[in-house]
Amino acid sequence: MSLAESVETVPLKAIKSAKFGLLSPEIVRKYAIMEITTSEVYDEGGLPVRGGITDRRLGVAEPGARCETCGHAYDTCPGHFGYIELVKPVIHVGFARMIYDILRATCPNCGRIMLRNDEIKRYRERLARLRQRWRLLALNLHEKIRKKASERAVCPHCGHKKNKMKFERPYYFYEETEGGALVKLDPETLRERLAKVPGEDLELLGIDPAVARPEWAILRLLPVPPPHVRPSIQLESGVRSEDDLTHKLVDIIRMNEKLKMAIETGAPTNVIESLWDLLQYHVATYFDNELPGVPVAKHRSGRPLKGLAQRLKGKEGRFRGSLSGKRVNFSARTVISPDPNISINEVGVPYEIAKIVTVPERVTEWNIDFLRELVIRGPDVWPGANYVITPEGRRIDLRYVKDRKALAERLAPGWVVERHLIDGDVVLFNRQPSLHRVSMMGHIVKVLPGRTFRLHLSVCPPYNADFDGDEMNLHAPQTEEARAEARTLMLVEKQIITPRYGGSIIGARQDYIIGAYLLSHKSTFITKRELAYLLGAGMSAEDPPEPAILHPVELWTGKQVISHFLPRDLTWVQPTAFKSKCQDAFRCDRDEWIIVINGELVKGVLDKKSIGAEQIGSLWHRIARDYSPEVARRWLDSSLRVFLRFLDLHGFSLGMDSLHLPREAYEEIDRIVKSGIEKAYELLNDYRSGRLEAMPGLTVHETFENRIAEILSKVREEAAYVVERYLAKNSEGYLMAKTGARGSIINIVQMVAVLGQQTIRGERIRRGFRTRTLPHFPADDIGPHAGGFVQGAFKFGLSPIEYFFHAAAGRDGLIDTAVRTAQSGYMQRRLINALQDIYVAYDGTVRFGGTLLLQPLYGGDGVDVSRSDHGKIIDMGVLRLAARVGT
Amino acid sequence: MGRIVIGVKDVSVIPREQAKELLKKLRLKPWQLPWIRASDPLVKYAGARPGDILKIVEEFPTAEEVVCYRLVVPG
Ligand SMILES: [Mg+2]
Ligand SMILES: [Zn+2]
Ligand SMILES: [Zn+2]
Repeated sequence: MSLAESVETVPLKAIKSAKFGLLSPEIVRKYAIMEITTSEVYDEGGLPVRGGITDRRLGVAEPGARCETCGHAYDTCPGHFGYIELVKPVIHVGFARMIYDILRATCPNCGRIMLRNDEIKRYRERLARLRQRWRLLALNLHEKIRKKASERAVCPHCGHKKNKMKFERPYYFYEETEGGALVKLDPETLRERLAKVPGEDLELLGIDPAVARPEWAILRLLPVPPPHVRPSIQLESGVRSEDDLTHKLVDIIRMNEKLKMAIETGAPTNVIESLWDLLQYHVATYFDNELPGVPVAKHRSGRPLKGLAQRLKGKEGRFRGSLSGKRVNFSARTVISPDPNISINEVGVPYEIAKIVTVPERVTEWNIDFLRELVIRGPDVWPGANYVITPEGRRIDLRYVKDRKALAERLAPGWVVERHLIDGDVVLFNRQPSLHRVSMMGHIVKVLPGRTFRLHLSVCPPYNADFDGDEMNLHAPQTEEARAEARTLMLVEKQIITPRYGGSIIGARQDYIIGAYLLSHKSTFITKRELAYLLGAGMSAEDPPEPAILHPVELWTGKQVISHFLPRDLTWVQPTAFKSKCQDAFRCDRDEWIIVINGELVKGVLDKKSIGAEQIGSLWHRIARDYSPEVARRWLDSSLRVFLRFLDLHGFSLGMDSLHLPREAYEEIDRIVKSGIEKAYELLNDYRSGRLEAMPGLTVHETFENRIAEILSKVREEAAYVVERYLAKNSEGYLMAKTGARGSIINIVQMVAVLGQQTIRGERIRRGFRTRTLPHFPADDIGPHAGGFVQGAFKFGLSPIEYFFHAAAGRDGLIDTAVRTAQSGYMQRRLINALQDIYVAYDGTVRFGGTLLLQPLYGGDGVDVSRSDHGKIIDMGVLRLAARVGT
Repeated sequence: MGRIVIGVKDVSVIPREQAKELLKKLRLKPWQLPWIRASDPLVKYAGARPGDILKIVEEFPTAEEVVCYRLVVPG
């Protein structure tokens, strides 16, 4: 009988609740099949010693052998527990604190809780009431009772005067005598005291005596788990290697034998004591080998042994490593690279991966010919198939089928073919760290040559991906239901509006924006040939528009090309980044406002403000919000391709001449910098001579620092103003900054004018040598230069000192990011652990794990942010515009 | 009884009958609601006792009025 068959004969029961308790010695003995009586493991012949830790009666975990208890082989024998009888009891480290709490609250003489009878009665009644209606509040009351009982020194029941107790982690207990001397309490004494406590008194302390008598936390019998829990492994050399738990158990048995011998031979008490303590040590580290204040038990090689707690704890532990997270099939991982030609919905999958990751497809009369073809092609040729599953559930591996043609013939409705990934399949795509919902989205497969996953540049922001070596994971859903969910809920086009803030997280960026700007520019005209090229790139199926100029050659405007792809009924007005003098969109003769009427871009240039991601009140946000996800995606797919192709035709590169400034500009900048530095030195003089007055709430020095920072940042501001005035308006640097494609005016200023103040932890540079930042400055120099003000610019180079300060500030930034990611990562883990059971129920309420109510209406307003206008249900401005234009 | 906490617009005890209906509508046992301790100033302000259900109306910048219900517990 195989395990799969036996499952059906196991009676099924629904678990209503779980209760944790302690194993009583009776239960340990009852569950055990044998007592472990010897520390011998294997005899000279390499066979398990009877009564030893590897006794075959405990069950077998390796193939070939038979269990001596149940007679089953390794795959069906469930394993059987044994036990070790300890000569002297030891404390279970996990319950040392509980033992201490109980001992402090009870009388060592009579065992009663240290409360008067009337108090006991009152608390009992209160507990009974709370248990009925406020079960969770009962926990607090137990704590209160315990505290109260611990405070009393004289037993109200027998009048015994209790000595103070001391607990020393991890497992030592002392009693303070009248003289103030500490007397150690051995586990035997502790057990006697705990056994005296009556059950009713334990209930007051929140312990159910039926499942957890406190004296059971003092171990006399130690359960020995079967080999399934601690399998030994056979190394290639034939040497047998035992599990850490087995090693630990052998240590315990050996120490137990030694202790027994010592007692039997009447050894001195201190010898017995120290052996007892060693036994306690071994049992404690068997449970937990990372106890504070206890030396770590080590393997012969010096490697720390893994205790029971270490199997469960931490990232690699049973919970986080094997249960919450595990490795999965039908997944793939490789480096990602960009492909601007595929759709944002798609993911490029290498042939090599498509041939390994499969999708089960059920044979029907409609796809039988297609699937037969795939089966015939087999596992090595794409598109093919790797497995065929018969209606009886038999898996046929196509690698070992000689006549695939014959098998394909036998295919019939009801069979399942595990075929290769093909174009159009839906898969889940993910990049760690998966910090928000859009870190995992549904993509449509496009099988491509090459060895990397390809993704569209516009889906980089949700994943926070770039192409400097990033890797991503791909998962192929294996059921029809999962695939339908991936398609209708997770597909990229359905995630354009992020649930984080209701804005589009996907949109045009960088090259797309500059391309769109250039195409929409008033001076852009396009020949018929170019038009055909661009409309083709946008995959237009409609007729091209009429030319804007007919003679002497037919020419089209860039705006016509853009309009060609806009939704026909779209009307929208918004300012561009170039807005300066025009206040009224409809009375402006420059391209400072975007006006779209019925899908026709009549005025304005496109820039980040109108087609970029995350822009409030933008053209792209309107398209994404007011049309279906599919329409929005199609617009983005085709328009972005057009913008990029136009940029190819146009050409765009940034060079030294893009950063050219006339002589007058440099003269002005020099004047600004000089006067700034002069002002800084004046301030320094005031500070030095004590003329500087402290600002409210600040010291004189803080005032000085604030003022100098203000003066020097003003230098950069004023320089920025000059640069903006003199820089050619058609220079690539200016255009990139202004349209929002990349960089800002500040970056240009840092390249051509002044780099400005360098900071470490938000302050001017002040650390370094004892009295100065660098030995090149006089002692106590806190002037602008010594404080990290960089007068130079990248275009002309930095002085060595400036270079040093710049590097220091750069390093500070890197350290800052590294620290921040580590901290926020840990916070994220804790938050997600705490919030993972929260869901929005179908009635709009927010509930926790099916029991608790958190909010009567989701978010207080019932708004799904990913279906909203930046958090608002509707954008009033849009309605007003519609009224104004009259559509 | 002075001012209530900033942000809280109104606190009131829901009458027993209405409370029953509310719990039925939400399919909840009283303890499944968020709790509020009897020692909380809001409870004192509303004059509620353990076992009562409070209706608290708060003002938020994103949603104008947010209603939440809390069960008064001892302590
Ligand atoms: Mg990267
Ligand atoms: Zn067995
Ligand atoms: Zn007593």
